[in-house]
Amino acid sequence: MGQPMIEVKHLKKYFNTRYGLLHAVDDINFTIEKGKTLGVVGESGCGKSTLGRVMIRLIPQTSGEVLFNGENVFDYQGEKLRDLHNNMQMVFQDPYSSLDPRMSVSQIIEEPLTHLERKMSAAERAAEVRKLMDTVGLAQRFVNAYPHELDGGRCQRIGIARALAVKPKFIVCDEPVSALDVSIQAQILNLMMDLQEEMGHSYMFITHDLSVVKYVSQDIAVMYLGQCVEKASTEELFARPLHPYTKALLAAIPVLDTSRRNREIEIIKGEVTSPINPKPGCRFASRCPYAGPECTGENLPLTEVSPGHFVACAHPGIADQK
Amino acid sequence: MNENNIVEIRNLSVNYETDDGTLYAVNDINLDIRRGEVLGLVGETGAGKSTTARSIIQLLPDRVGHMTSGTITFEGETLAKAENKSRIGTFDIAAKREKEKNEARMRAYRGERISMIFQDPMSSLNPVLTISDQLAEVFLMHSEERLSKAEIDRKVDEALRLVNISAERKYEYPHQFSGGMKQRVCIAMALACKPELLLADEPTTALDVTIQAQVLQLMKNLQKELGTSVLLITHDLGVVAEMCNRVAVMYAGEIIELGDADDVFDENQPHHPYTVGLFGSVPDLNMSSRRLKPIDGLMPDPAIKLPGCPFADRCPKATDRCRNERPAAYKAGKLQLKCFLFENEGGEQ
Repeated sequence: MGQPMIEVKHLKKYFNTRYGLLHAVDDINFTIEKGKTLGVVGESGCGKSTLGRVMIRLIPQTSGEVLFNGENVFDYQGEKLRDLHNNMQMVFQDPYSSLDPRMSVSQIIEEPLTHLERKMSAAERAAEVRKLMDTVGLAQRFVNAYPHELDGGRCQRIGIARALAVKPKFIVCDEPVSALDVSIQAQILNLMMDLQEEMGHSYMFITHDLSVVKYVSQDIAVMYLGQCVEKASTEELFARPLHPYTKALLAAIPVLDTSRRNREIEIIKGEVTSPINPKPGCRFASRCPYAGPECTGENLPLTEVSPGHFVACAHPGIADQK
Repeated sequence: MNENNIVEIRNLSVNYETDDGTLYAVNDINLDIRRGEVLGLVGETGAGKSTTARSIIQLLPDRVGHMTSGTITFEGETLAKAENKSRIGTFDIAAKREKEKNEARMRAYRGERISMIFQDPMSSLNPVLTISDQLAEVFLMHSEERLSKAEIDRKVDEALRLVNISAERKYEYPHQFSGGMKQRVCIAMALACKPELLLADEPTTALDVTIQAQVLQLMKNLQKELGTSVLLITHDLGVVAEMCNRVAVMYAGEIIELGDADDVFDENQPHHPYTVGLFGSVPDLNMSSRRLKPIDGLMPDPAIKLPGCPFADRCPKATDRCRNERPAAYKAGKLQLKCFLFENEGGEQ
């Protein structure tokens, strides 16, 4: 066990809506070690982006704690709060809308540098911008370009350079490659992993794409309607998925193998139910082919079934037995 | 015209005339769609996949998109042929009339014999009409005799049942449906007249994986049931593996690799360097290595007409000849490849 850098404890985020209380993030617990990556997967609307945003204090939490090196970041105020984002940064999904269209590449990357504790001179900042552009593989000729002149892959590199500028220890990556083409996606994924090896920061990698998450992360948490339904190391999760939802997610991914063409795709029926005022019990029960009376009525806790493998299911592994 | 082909595309080139100059979207492609098959058209953004599909159904953006060479034949009938180059960009009443005549002719094909499904199900449905109204329109447009209200109602119910949507929901509006259901409504609409050809332009890209699996399964079953030929456009090689009989790989407006899906996915076959790079970029669930092998660089700017192979600048095996001369399609193994590497293997196609 390495030293935990991020500890999330009973984190909740509810939104008040016209129709009731929306449980976007409901009692999430996990830790991320230094230099490691946690992958958070789930379908759209399962609360994975909200989780990332709450963790780095972009939106307020409802309850719970996020410990960064042992200190609760929700207690931070004033100077300390400002300093928080020198340690925690975020890379956003849409590379176009997350960059200010009226700022040039150098201005975008330079801005976080002006908020550092140690004041830098303009020349120092310019040098740092050039260094950061090299780091993320952006040619120097783009230094005065504007986001609209660049393609998605390059814009995402700017987003990464901006996040790296303050030398953060923890970066939340919210679907950083899902807007990109595969060949560009591969370039960005390789870049992010190289940077991690070099600088040793931790990532929380939010994505809906299980094959990407398998590639980048050591641990995976599967989310469904605001709750974590399964959590394990990447190898364990792919080798032995225990929750019926995880299994269905894995089965739904098209793989590069034409021999599977004639198989019946195992589909989970129906669609994600509403996260507004959910009934107690397993939230997946209405779509689960193995659901029984034991699945409703009471919330199922995330229990450790084998070392490091947690699952919230009344009958884990049932999909394998039938 | 080969009996087995439903569509034959010959020497198709499409240009877009924009304010920033001419964009060469599709450059001299040849492609057949066989009767009853699912042909996958794969490539990255800007490769010309959608342009190819839109040329077939003649839905290129008005006044901007122009077919500059080639012909498209559908069931032996010429659907489209190249425009007179000198007329492009000028106002010409004769050309305008011709275009209007062509539009009237195409209306008989669209929706009835050739249908299209678009990527974004939200923007391809009309938000102010109920699902029932939108489906009924298809039957009103494409039936010979006047249908009674009851008959149309029955047909709408049947079309919805085909895509597993209960008929009770037909008086609802698109915003009351989820993304997957909206895409299923689009599929119902596209298949309502049992067309011979379905053009599916990234039908599942906007959907979650579990919903994607549902929609793909549905499309597969309907395709088998109705015997429709499908041109499936996607950037997802996994979807291709799951759905397609044959695959065409597009890059910068050209089809650089063409063959049976099994052969394109077969590592032991010779492949175009771009296809190799494309497969190297995809993180696969079965993959054990910790590093992807992406292709360096970007796709060439479509505003520049290159004299040689469009992939030459990113290709690890490129020679001077590749930069100056355009390769033809050569046969290598069981595939058809547009690359000089395979020039001497099986001769020109």
